[in-house]
Amino acid sequence: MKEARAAVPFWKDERKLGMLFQALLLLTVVLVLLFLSYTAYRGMRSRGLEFSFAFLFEESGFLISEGVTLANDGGHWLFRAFQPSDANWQVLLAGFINTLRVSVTGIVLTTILGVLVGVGRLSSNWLVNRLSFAYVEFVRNTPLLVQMIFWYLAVFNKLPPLRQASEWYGFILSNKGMAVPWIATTPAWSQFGPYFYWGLYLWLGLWLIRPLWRPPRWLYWAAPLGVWAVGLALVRQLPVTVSTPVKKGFRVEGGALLSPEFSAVLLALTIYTASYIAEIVRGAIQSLPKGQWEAASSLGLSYGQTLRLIILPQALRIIVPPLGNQYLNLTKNSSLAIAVGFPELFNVYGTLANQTGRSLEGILIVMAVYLSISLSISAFINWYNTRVALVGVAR
Amino acid sequence: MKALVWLRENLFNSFFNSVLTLVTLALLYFSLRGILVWALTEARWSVVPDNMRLLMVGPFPPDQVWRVWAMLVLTLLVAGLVYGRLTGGRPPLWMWLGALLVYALIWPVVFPSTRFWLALALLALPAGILAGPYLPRRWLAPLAAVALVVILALPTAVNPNQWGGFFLTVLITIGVSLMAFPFGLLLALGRTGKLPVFRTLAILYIELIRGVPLVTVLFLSWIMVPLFVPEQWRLPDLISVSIGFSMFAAAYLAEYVRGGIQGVPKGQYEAAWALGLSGSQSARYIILPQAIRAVIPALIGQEIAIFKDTSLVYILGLFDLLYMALTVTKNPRYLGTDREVLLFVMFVYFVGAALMSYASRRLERAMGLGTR
Repeated sequence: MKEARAAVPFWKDERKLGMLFQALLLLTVVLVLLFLSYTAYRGMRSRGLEFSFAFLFEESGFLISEGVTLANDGGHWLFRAFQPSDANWQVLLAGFINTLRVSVTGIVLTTILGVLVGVGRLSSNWLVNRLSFAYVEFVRNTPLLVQMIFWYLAVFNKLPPLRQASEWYGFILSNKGMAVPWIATTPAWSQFGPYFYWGLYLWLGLWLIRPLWRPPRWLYWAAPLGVWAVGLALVRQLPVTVSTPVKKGFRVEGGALLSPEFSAVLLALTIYTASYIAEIVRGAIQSLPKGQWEAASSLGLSYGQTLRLIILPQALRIIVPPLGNQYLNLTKNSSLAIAVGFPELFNVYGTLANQTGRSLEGILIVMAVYLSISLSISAFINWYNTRVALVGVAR
Repeated sequence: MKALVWLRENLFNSFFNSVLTLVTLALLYFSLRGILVWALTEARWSVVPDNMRLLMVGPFPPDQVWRVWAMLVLTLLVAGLVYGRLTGGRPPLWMWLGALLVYALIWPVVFPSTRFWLALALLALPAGILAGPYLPRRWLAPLAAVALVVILALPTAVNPNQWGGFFLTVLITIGVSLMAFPFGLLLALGRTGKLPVFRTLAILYIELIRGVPLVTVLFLSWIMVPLFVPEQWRLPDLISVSIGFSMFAAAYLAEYVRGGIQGVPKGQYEAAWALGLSGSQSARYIILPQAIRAVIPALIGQEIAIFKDTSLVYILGLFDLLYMALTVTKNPRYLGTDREVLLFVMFVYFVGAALMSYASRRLERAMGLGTR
């Protein structure tokens, strides 16, 4: 027996070979990494560069077209518009906030559009069906970057100046960008504010004491709404209104003015991602057994009711994981905004690298930030997925 | 009468659908009217044919453009020969008619010298298919190899920094796919394999790459790769960017192949094991052929994604199709033609991507995917 075992030479023993192979691989990877970092270090040295993150705390000295950052003004940390006298980390933060702004808005809008188009792809209405199909095919088969540049150069840049701009139900489209109605506070807000926050605190409190006492579901809605209702009854004035933009000479007053860059990026991301979401939604709905439709119609539900009460809730389970992937893609794709000059994270990095010469350090920071966004979104999707997954069914 | 029935069944089959049809029609009318009026009266479409050379080959020296044409003709000819030899088929009628149609459409807008090459390129594929069956089978491989060397050698007489336009876009697409495929395969095998070190490294690599945008990877390799070579080499940007691009594409490719590998039934592994095949043998002869066959549609989808993503090299200042298009609009003679030029760029990408997905569907049917 002992002899037989010794007769297997180590180069024919798969377990030993595997270990040897792995050890070699690990060694190679480590050596390659060491070699790469050393050559990179030497390459940077010979070009007179130095690897350091100290530049983050130097004054940036340049302006970005829009962006809010965290700053220390008179002893208080607060969010305000970025200024050239701020430090480099603050400009990166402003870019990051812009990335979040365009991504979050885009995710909301693209979900709505994507579901509409996806349902449209299955519509019995021939026109809607074909239109949705054409939309999906065209948008998916052209590059996002070209679409984004098209929206910017060929649409928003060609809009008339504000004076000749047409108004359409509170929307003003001009070469200054897109002015949309937005929520604004009225003078009564100063009185109503405390009630508003108390409502929120109450909700948070209810949520926090869950381990001790699980409130009934309706209370989560009723408690803050009740506080706000009491506040409204006492103040007797509307604390918020919808502010509609109005043309005043060369400016727009009221509402919210979205810059042409922001609008182009938002529109391109929304329309592009929606075409993928539409296919996900269509696939999920089609994958449901036909019996579900038949059962619903035999219960006397209308088409809309069937969709809302029977089909979409079930499709949701199939939709969630790929949908999360699309949200991730949208966020990562917002980095293409550098091509139209919207100051999101990657674009700000581009300017920063130009100004300071810190390309390598900067790109590492930027990649780390995108990576953490990606990981947070996938963590959220996983959490949500476990919530909507069927109880007792293995994922 | 039939039309009326069709209308009632497809557009007005319920109250809701009738309203929907009318609203959609109104929206369509208002948007299409504006677009059509612009496209037929205001648009200066001449900007596209006038700058066709720039859009197609960018700053490639005009007296060297024949090299690109020769590459195209040779590729099509060899593809035709191989296809004709292997299938013994004849070129279908639509290929001749299509060639004629394309020629007739493009003929008026190109130079006389280009017409010659154009005719050659259009005839190359059907001619190859026609001649294929008469070629001795053992000549096929050497012929293809020689043709490949010639095709690869043709553009090298021109500095890579002068390659551009749609030519560069196609070149990057092909180059990146070829470089990414073996690496992606390796990553997929590592991630599904039994060796823990290999698996951990593969997972780390794939998840890291998939968590960041492509443009940051391109930027990183654009900065880093030149640092790794001696300074006097002056590596063309094309190379350093393509390396990053391939590393990015490999991570996505690996995930598709992994899907295929995991779809191979366990019995196949056991059967290979029972036959006494080693790990690498069973991967090569049993698992991968089945896995890759199953994911070919997904791989072509990834190919389309690479094709579309080549537009990102514009951000790094490579002279691809998008870069050349935006350069054309900066020419004072063609100021304000962004719409026309960008629509043409979209059209080119759309045709390319649509052709690929058409080929994918044909291939799927030919291989009987999903029916076996």
